[in-house]
Amino acid sequence: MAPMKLEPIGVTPSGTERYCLNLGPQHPSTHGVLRVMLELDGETVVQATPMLGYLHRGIEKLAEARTYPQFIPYTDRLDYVSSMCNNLAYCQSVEKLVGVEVPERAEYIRVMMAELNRIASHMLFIGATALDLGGMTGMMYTFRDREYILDLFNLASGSRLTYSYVRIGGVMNDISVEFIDLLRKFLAELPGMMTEYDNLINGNEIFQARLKGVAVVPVERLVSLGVTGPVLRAAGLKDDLRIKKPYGIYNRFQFEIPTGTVGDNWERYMMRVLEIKESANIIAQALEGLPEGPVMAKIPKVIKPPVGEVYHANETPRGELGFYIVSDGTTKPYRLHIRRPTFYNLGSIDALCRGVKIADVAAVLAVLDPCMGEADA
Amino acid sequence: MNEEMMATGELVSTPATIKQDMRELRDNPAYGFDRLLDVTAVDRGETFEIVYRLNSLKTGRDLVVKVALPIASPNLPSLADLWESALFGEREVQDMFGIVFEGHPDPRPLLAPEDGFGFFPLRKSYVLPGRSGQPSGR
Repeated sequence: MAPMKLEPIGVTPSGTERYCLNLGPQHPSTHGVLRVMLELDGETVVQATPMLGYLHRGIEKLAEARTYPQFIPYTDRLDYVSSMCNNLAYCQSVEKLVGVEVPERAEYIRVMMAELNRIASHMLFIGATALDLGGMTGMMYTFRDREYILDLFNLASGSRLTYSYVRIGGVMNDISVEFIDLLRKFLAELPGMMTEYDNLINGNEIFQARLKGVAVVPVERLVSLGVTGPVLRAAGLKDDLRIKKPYGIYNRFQFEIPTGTVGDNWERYMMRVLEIKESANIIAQALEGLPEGPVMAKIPKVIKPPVGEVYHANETPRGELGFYIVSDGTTKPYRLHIRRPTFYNLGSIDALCRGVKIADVAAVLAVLDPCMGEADA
Repeated sequence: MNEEMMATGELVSTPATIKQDMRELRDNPAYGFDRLLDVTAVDRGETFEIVYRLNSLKTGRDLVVKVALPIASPNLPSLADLWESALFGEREVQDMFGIVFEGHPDPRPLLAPEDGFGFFPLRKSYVLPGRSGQPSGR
């Protein structure tokens, strides 16, 4: 292990000296505990080396000592701003392994919850990006509106952030009439909220100038890096598991997958803004089609899947979240591996940061929308 | 590599041929697996099983490639020059299982501290602290 280089490292052709700058792990623009070693030539980034692991809790090892239902709360703590999506991906993986049929009503509730969580996550993203670029006020509005969704989740699951609401075989409990009324009210108010963001943040000339044309990387490179989610879609690829491999009942809904053309920071940002509208569209359709009935399948008290393995992936707000479960026929997984989208998306930091100015590094990190709980597992 | 592989979605390779097989899977237009979505491993007791998850954006097909590796000499060529996602994926497997990916351009610990954990947490030989009867796993 070579010691960390902190002194000037060589002279560049322009006659200036290259040097290293450490960003994080305690830095507000890193959204958690991400550390990036920046090698700089003046103000331009020559190389960016991400260093992870500050939030590593060994979740994959812990899974081997927990029964299948006991692991659900751990999935909440992966990507803690989209816990519903994580619950859903894990429970669907176990259901695939055991072979459980989920009741219709539960399927509709699951879709509503996952899409609401996508909106909440993207609202946080919009606010955090504005904040990282110096627009303190922008954050206040998106956080105010996100609170509306968290209240809804609180009503359904009794928890604001770590829900464990989706269970193996269905959902925890049925949604109330009050929940549906409040959800309808939220959907009616959402276009107004989006107009407010458009006026306040998206339409701001300085905000646009800071993002447009920054950190453009060829799409082939992003594919090779294993990048998924809105960052890849901004580069023009219509790659969304909800369309490509519809899980649950996603094949029953009509919605668009927004894609970009240039793949700069601005389009990566706008993907999230556009996805909020599509998610609201899906929720409205799910509310319309919500059937009566039970919300929990009849499953055995002790879940003992047959010997075998399964891989199941969902499209979370950050990309492809996959659970690979190897079962040895006991009540605990023999091995559980999580394919975390943030982990692979962070691998693209070097490709994205090279050649940008140091002030734009915060913007690059912001539009990657990393969640370190997920990256570090 | 044949029809059977495409039908089952699974291919079993060996440490000696993995590089060649993977290059074929990426470059042969009949396969066209342009991305490596994930790299992981399973401790099978006698051997490690390395699991690669490939996907083709053109055809939408998935393929799982598995390689068995003896625990005594867990060495395998790195695929970082074929897909850049292996840069991160292989480093995680290296930290967690102690598998050496030969030719990896940056084999420093990624999730582990700079000098490593001192043990390989996802090997079955490592027992979680509190479950071994010992005060600590170290």
